[in-house]
Amino acid sequence: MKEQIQSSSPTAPPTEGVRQETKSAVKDAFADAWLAKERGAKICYTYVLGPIELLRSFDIHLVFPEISSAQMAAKKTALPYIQKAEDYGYAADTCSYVTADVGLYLSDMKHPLGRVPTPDLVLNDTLCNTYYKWSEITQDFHKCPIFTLDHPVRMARKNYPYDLEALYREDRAYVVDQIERLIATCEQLTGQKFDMDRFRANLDLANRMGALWCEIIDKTRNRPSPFDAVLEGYNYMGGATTLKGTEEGVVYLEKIKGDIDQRIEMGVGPVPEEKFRLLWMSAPCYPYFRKIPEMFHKAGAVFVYTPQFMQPTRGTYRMQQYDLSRPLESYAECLMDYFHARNPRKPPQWSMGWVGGGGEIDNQLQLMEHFGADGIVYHAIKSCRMNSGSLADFREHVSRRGVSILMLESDIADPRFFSEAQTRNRIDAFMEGLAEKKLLRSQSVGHA
Amino acid sequence: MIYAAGVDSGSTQTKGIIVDEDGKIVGRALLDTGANTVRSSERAFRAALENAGVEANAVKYTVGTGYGRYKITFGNTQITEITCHAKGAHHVFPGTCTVVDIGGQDTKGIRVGQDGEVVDFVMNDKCAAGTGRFLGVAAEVLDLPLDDLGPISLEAKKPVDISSTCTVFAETEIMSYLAQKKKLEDILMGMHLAIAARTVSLVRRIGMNQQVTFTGGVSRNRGMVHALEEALETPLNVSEESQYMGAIGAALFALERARTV
Ligand code: SF4
Repeated sequence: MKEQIQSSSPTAPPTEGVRQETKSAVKDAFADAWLAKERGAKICYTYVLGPIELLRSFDIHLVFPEISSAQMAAKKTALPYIQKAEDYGYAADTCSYVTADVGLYLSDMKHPLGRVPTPDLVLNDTLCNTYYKWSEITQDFHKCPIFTLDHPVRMARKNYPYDLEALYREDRAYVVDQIERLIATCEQLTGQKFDMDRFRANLDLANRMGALWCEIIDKTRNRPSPFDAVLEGYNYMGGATTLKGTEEGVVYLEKIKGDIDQRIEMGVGPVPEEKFRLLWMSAPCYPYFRKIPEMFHKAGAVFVYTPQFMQPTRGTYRMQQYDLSRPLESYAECLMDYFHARNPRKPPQWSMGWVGGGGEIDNQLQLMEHFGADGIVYHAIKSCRMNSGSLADFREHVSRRGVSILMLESDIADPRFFSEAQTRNRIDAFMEGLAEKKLLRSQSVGHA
Repeated sequence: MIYAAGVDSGSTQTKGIIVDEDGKIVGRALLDTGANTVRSSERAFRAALENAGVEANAVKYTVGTGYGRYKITFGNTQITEITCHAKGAHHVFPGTCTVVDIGGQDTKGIRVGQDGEVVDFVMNDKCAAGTGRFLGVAAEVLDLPLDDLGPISLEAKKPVDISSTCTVFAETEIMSYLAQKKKLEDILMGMHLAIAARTVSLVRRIGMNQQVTFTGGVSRNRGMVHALEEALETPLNVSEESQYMGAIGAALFALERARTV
């Protein structure tokens, strides 16, 4: 019975429903935004790691520029927008999420999925340098205020010369102060008083989502993996971010978890026969979102993890949850601790980079072991230094430790940086290498 | 006697190799790929058979490789040229740890394991800078046969500095050196050194270990061998068969499969 399901239905039916739901959660976002606006809600643009739960405790509707650009790209419609921005004067190596977004501003806000309402506020945070400029561009075009939430970063190093605990307390007070100012800004914008209970309720929902999310992403440890971390994982992430800190979000993730459990019970996964398990480092190539993972699927390889899985829950990932008895402080900690990777107070979690001091290499090796992976695929994104900056070094150091690795190059939203023949060639060669390695290993075991 | 074949359909040239059941090369052919990959692959296969004096039905297994490998419909399977070059280089020079392959449109660095397996590899990006195409452009601009570039360049005393390996910009740079009345051999060696420098930075990404085997069409160019040896600071393994290395690897894989089917 199991056999039959595997061969006749490589992509198990349960996920189809979730996929549709994700699609509509993300797709209806603009329609919902207009409805909210009609209701008198204010529109705030925020990046995916912004203080979503806090903004949602006011009558504020959120629009996520990154998700909007990613959708354009995934629908293969980003290029004309990007070119519009280039004609306007932006350089081709500007982050293509930004140029796609600028193209949208220059197109009367007409997105392939509907018109996007303009912002009443743009929330900048200091995760990526590009955000500073991006929010300024948004401000220039739409004449809206910016609020910048700055969270300090401390790089790990041996013999840290300061008292880390004292420093952390100072940093936290600095962030709490900004949160209080953000609250005042939102009160002014909406004319609503801040409701601590509503905020606490949102945090509670985010905690529940965080716990569910952690369970979900650990399920790829099953063999076969019930879902592909890139092809399906990024869809789940889009939905989870859009619905973060809401009842619907909890229901959404419960549904995903249920579907995945069903797949595990049926013994089905993304490919008929799982031969290899891989880690994916950095963001996907949205213009070829399906095509690239499917090239791996052809060789029986499935992605089982990407460190970007940390995003939907931000700082609450794995190590901690929001402490509802001291919401503001705890919120500040979680905002800061998303950079746990740069936070020398704690051992690195399963992150993507930026640990410093060599810890990141061990981190990646641990990930390999935890998920039973056979290799790592690094995806260097042409226009995103944030995600790609460290990959060349990782490649060198991780491969020295005997891990099979593949470096792919394309872009997050710009289809011009993807060459199908070259990509296929690299993937084929990598898969041949993995197969050979497996064969040689089995032969040497046979000899022993 | 059973035979196996490898056909390497590259961007500029197509190579065919026939091996006997001991893995000995008994036939080879090399011709321009041209516009029709299917036809040139078939022709290379036939020509190699003829060269070996072997009938097509004596060939038990054929592996296609190179960019056009999916077009090699008469073959039994396809394997990338990366895997095939590693295999071929390991066969011809068993001490090979690194393969540098410079072809018509791409440059690759391959780290090879003990058994001739691929451990890691790098390739140039979506641009022909620093590949054989660069020399092709130079030959056109200078109106020289491609095969003369290497020997002439070896006469150089004061190679010029070519700052760009961009195939398009290189043309302008060569023109300007010609206008400055620089010696032809110095210009040519400058170009070879520019390609070598680009190759070194590529190969460093996978970590270079001795011995280094140089394969691909450009390895036939003695000027390039010299420039690369200087840049890598190591002697290179180069064989008469260097440009057939992909096809040899493919034929060896074909032989392994012929034995098991
Ligand atoms: S992280 Fe990369 S893709 Fe995201 S905004 Fe920054 S530069 Fe752009």
